[in-house]
Amino acid sequence: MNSNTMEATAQIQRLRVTYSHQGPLRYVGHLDVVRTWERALRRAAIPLAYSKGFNPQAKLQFASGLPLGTTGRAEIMDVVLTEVIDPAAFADQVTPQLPAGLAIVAVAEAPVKTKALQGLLRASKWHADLQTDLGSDELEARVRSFMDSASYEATRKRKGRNVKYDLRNLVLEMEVAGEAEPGWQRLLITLRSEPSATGRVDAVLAALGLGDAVARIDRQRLIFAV
Amino acid sequence: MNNRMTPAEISGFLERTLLRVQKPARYTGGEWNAVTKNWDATPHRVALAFPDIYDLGMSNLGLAILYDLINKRPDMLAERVYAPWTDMEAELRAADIPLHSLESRHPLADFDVIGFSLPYEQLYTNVLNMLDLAGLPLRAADRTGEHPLIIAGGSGCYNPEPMSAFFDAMVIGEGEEVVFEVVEAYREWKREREERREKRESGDGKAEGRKGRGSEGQEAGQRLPVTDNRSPITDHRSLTTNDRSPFTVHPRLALWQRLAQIRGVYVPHLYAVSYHDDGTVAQVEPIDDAAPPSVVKRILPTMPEPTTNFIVPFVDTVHNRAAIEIQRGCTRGCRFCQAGMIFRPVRERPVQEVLDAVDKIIASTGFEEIGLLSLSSSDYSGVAELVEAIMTRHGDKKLSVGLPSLRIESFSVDLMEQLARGRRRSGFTFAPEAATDRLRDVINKPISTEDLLQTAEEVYSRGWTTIKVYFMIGHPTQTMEDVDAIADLAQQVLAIGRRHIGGKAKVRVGVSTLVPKPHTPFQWVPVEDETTLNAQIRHLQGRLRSRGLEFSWNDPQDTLIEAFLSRGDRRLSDVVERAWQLGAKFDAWQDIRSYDAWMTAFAEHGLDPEWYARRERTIDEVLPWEHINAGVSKEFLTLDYMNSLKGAVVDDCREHCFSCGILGLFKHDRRNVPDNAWGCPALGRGKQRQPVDITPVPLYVNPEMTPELAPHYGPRVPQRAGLHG
Repeated sequence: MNSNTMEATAQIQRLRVTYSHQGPLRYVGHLDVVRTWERALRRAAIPLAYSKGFNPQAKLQFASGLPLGTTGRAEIMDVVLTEVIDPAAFADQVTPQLPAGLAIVAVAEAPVKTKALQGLLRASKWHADLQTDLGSDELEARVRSFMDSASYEATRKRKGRNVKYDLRNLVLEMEVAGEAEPGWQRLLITLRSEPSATGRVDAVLAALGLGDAVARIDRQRLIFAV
Repeated sequence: MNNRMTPAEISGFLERTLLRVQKPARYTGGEWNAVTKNWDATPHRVALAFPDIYDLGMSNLGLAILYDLINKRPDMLAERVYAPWTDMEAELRAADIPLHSLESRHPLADFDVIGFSLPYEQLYTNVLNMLDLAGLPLRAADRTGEHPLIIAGGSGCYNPEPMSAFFDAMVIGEGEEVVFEVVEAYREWKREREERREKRESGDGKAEGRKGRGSEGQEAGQRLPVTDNRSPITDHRSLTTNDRSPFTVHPRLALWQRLAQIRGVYVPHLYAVSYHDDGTVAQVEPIDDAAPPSVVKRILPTMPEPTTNFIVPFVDTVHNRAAIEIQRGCTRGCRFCQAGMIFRPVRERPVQEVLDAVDKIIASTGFEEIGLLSLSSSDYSGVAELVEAIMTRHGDKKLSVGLPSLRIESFSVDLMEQLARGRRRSGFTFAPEAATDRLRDVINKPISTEDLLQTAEEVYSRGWTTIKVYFMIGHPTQTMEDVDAIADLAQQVLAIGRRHIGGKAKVRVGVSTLVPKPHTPFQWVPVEDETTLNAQIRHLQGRLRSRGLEFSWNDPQDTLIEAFLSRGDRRLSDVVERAWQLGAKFDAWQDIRSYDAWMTAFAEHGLDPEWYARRERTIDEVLPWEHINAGVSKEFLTLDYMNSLKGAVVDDCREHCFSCGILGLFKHDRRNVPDNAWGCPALGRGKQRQPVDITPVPLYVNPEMTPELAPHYGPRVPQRAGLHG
């Protein structure tokens, strides 16, 4: 035993994990979600690769963190391992260690050396279910008016300053899908999700005048560059 | 507030609300290893409450242990509840939603037993706030047969009086066994009530009303504390504002009587306190035959099996890690330290048991950090073996191991170096508590300045950049010279750091104020007055300003709040309640706590906070906590206090037993455990491992303080080291 933890551990295999993120995880910020995964993988005794340095970090790479308050059906992360594990065996080993709200949907092998998922992400598809008295006609009208406009100026906080940006440009598609259940209207939204241009559903809802409605926002799919 | 609501209604409220509050995952539950049992199928339901936010409460080891133990029983469930942060409290109040458990989201009023942890005094007002949010009567005397049993445990209970009005009972000492006896007592009481009710409803109806109620008390106890002018029960507004006859027995009396008969359980309502004209306590005496004149704390004869399936929080908490107690109690005898007195005797957990627990914890939680807890890790006899074994097994698994409370010596640096292997080194902590050899003799923590500086050399030369040094001001006999020495010592440590690593070297100086705690040799000592404290802090501020030095201190107003709550008597219950009504809560949070509310509450009740905090008490005064027996006798504490004033240092009691009282009180337990299981001598013929004295005889006496005595004792021996092989 000597102090060899400063060297990076060998990276033998990369598994691409698709998982769903529901339940109490909805209220957990992305950094805490990362730690929740790391602990589950440690419980499952998965041979995780760690980064170099004084503060070794497990090599978990997420395509895109979910904003607080949203859920996801097909989130994607890469896990880098120091030993080869069969994808199906990985799922079997990890599943019993997942807290309520996390579930593995699929596991596939990916090349060990590959571009970061984050950089390949292009778009994301969302459901937004809204508890609202607004009739579907009125909702349709607001959606149409937003989609028909050439631009929509919104602001977001960035490093404590308000920065203006064009929200319309970040919304690729949006339509009203009707009642998800009585009293809940569903919107289908496709947002641009590029490293330098990421749309947020809550901003879109605010633009529709629905910022205060109780909403269940669920990411359906992540779309990557081929 | 409303105290009934269904879990489904509460869930609806949470979904509407959570995204509006900070850190919503504090309120969701559903963490890994949280246990949600079938509510309807589990007959005995306990809520474990921590009177501060989730982030702090989740790090409380006592509650984690009880949660695990209770949930292991098939017929019982334990669920958690914490104080909501101010934003969530406002939401709960606005929507009239009762405080509820994290697991099943049942309102607190639906539980059988609510057990509060009271580890320190600044949480007291939060208890009231939580009871209020739960829609429960704050005072035990205002609760009826329909309300849950509300109890407390933890070090705060060693002076139970300031909070005595609010709990049905307070547990003194270790809770692992007694909690089940308390639940059992409640269960029996409830069963009896139900039987009586059934009989009343089905029977001839002659036991209606008052008589039926009264018979409860008659069965369980012999002497009824019916109304007279001095019983605290009958003084109470519940009996004067309700239209019950003044001779009605309190509906919870039979419950209290059952509880009072459990060893280690204090039922304040069965005692009357009388006062002298000068305001000091004249007498605390039982007013019911079920109540013992003195309540002896509970201990476990050996360390209980370690808890390993800790709840893994989703969000960051104060100590986001698992913890294993490697040892309970401490033999050092530092005179300011309440834990060192009340957690006696010393009991060690075998190294193998700790190692097995570490393995189990990693497998069941995935935590990346484990704390090995004790009051003095250097005194754990297997510490070297343990550290080596842990690093051999887990050195490659990115596990970080915390080993707090190490002595200031180079061996500690070796241990920390082994544990830090390859990882970033956070600050190294020294806690000399006083800056001169003389004052350290007074507090019985005889480290020498020389050893401290030598250890600092080792720390900086082996890769640490920061040393944290903790001191207290306000020790008895302290002079401005001792305060000034804090700055000198900090500068000396920094100079050593500079010599080794240059400008990167840092010293963090933390200065708190001594609050003399009940059951310690300093329990008679006044808290230093505010003007003096402010002057001392200002002086240190001025002297600790250079680059590389950071200085933090306690606000004397916070010290005062802590002091009157830890040293107060039963009359403070009214003050606590009034302060809470005036807005006091989160007293441990500087930007929330309300000093003014406390001062107003004291004034309204004609009491003086300074009298409680800053009055020197005479040895023959009846202390408000005197009927609580922590195992260390008043005689021992008195003699050790006398020793402190002479600068007389008493040896580590593993070397030499001074009959503090614990062994006599628990001799039966001592006989039933192996010889090496306790720090105290083994009992029985031919078993003595160490000398025994009937009083705390000094090892040496500080010659500056008592030159005439010093030659009669040995030379100054700085701290005993190397009790471990």
